[in-house]
Amino acid sequence: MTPEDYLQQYAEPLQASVGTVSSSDWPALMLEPDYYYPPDSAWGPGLDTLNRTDLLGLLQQILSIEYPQQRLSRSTAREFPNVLQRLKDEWAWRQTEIERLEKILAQHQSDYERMAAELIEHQTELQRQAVELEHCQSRLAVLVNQASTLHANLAELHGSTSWKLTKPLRWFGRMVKAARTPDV
Amino acid sequence: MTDIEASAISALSVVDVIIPVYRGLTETRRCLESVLAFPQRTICEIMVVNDCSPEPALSAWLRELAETGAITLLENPVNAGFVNAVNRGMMQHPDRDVVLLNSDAEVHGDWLDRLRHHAESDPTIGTVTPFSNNATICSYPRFNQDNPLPEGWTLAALDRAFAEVNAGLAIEIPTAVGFCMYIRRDCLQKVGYFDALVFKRGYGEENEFCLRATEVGFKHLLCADVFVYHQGGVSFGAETSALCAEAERNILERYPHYLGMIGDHCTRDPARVLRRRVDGFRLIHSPRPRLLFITHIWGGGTEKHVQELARILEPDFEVMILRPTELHGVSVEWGRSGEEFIAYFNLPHAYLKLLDFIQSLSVVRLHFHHIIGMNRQVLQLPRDLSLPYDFTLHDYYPICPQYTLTLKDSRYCNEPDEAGCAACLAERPALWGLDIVTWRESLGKLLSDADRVIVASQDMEMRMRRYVPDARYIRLPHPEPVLTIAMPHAPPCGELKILILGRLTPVKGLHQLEACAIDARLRHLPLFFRVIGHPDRDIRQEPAIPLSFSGPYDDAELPRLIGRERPDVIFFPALWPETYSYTLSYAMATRLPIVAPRLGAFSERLADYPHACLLDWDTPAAECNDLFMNLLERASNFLAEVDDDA
Repeated sequence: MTPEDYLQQYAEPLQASVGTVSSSDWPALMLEPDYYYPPDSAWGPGLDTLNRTDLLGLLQQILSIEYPQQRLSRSTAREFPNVLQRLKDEWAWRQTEIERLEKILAQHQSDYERMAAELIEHQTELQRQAVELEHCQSRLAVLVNQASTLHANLAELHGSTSWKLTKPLRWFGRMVKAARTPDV
Repeated sequence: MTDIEASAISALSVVDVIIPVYRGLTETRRCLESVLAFPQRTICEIMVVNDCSPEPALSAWLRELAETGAITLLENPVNAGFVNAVNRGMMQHPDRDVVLLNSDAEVHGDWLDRLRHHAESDPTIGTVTPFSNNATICSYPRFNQDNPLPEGWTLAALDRAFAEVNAGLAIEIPTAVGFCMYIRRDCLQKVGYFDALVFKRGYGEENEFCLRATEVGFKHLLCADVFVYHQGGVSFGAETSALCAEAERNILERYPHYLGMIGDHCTRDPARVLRRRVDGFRLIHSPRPRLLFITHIWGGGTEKHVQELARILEPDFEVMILRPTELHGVSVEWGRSGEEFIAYFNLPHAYLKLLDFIQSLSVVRLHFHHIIGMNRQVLQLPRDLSLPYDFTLHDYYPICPQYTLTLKDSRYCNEPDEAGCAACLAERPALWGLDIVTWRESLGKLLSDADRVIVASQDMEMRMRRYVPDARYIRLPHPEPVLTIAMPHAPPCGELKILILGRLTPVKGLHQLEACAIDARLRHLPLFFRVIGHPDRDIRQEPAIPLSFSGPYDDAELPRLIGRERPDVIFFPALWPETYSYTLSYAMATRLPIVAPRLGAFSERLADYPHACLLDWDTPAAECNDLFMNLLERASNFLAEVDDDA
């Protein structure tokens, strides 16, 4: 569709508003300075938009907090650019330090997550092995029980009359077996 | 000395307005006439330094003017260079403040009185510069740009606006800008004149002067209540950029911190507040009704449509554009070309402020284009402002939180029932955590209550009517100029070159295209796939498979890029029901064969196109390639047909 045709159809219901603009006073549209800077921006109008009186007032307040016994004099005012620069440098250094520490923190968090995952894995393995151990122990108990039953049966067999009566026969058998076995 | 005495002396002291002249009779006349037209309370002497102009008419006119006594004319017998000319003017009266005014500048009203008011507000002020349309860090409306005067605004009206809105306001700047620069005499006395040895021909001399002045404790002001027009580049023309580069080198040799200082100022941009105040004044005084567009920040076809619509509405309407920002806020910008106004509102805290702002603008209508990424409060704007609104649908967001009617594998979902949609949302939840029923209810109501729901295709209207039957749909294909793309004749070379247009995402068929290229490689087919655009993720490319990408492009460049590629066929591998497709318009302008899916707007837009071939959207890659091979066999016939049509 050509732009002209589009405009004709699009603007048809808007024609009533053409020429009927009700203007408010311009101060009504003025926003506070912060509204003109992106919310994620570390920058803003800052000190540059303060006039000299406001700035001196601000410095006086800072001084009264930092050095309550002093008043702002011309010489201390002159020092402020240096102080401000030092503060800016320190701020920049702290930002760098924060970034560095954040990186370390992120690394530690990632290590922690990895170790936590490993811990869970080991715990699972431990539980599995505990279950297996328990299973082995019960199996062992069964086998011990079986062994003692067999020992009892064997003792009963050795004490029986038939075992005693067949003793010569077993002795003779061993003699024959020994005779047949060649000497080493 | 009392304040009254000081003020009386100040009122009597004379200011020299120094205008060096070399070329440009028309501009110089305008400049001098504007200076002479407005008498000032400040006593001033207008001193024109003719630096041996090569234009006899200009020299003659200046002499005539000097004879009337309106100006003092100093004539250099040989061309001494801009800086020497300025220095000569400044040396004439060693007790006077001076204003340097370029001969391609124009002033208005009591400009000098206002400049002087700022200059005398503090003894540490060295220089004062006004706002201008073309003055780097003092530029308006766009910062650091060479702006034309805003449409419909004369110099006089604009200067009055600055004087009213920013009365008495100024900020400190790292350097003055030489097109119009007030210099206090005590600054000149302590700092010296411009360095004519290094900056003989001009550019950079005022910056170097300001840096010297800063070193001895002087400040430089941008006075926010004066606006001076500056054409720029009259005397030096094409040499301007070379002179600027040389000046920068010279300054950096002496002051290596200069660029850092300027960069810091530009980043903080403290003058923005002052520019915004004038923007607000101009907006309020515009006779055009205001519209507020609401859209996303994802670019693409939606952004293109928003920008084009704003352009065609410019003569009759002021279009403001609201977009989401980081941290759930919104920004409102002035959509007129050449404007810079933008304000940020942090939602939900600043919602009332946003309402106040829109009401103060006297917006007459809202127009939703997209709400993805938006704070939910924005949906309440029509109700809270009691304003009518339109809604242009650019995709299926009001009925599908995935907005393209596609599943996780980026293929058309065939529009399942609510259970199917719920399963899809379980994998990829909707914005604001809504379930599909609530989503469609709340956004469906937004559509139903709109004055108009604008759709670009019949296919889209039919799909939307199934979910929101009671909305007032109107079908308006996007506005586009008539495109013509000259295609150079490409003789058959035994290989079919298949062109794909635009940024490719999986829903636009990125993986389908990759599969086609892999199949072509495996079967050794003479097919080559070329994309004008870029993929949104890493995929295999040439030489692994016969597929390559040109990279991002500007829309205005697209006809030239298509012609340069000399393709045999244009392919749209989209896997979702496209609602319009701007790139299809470019493809149709080539009159080349087009292969597209039988889905979305393609069917109806290509219905009358003579060389269209529509495929089922889920056609396997191998079958697509079979079709291309078939086309290759008929390529010479197609080209012959196209030639015949041409």
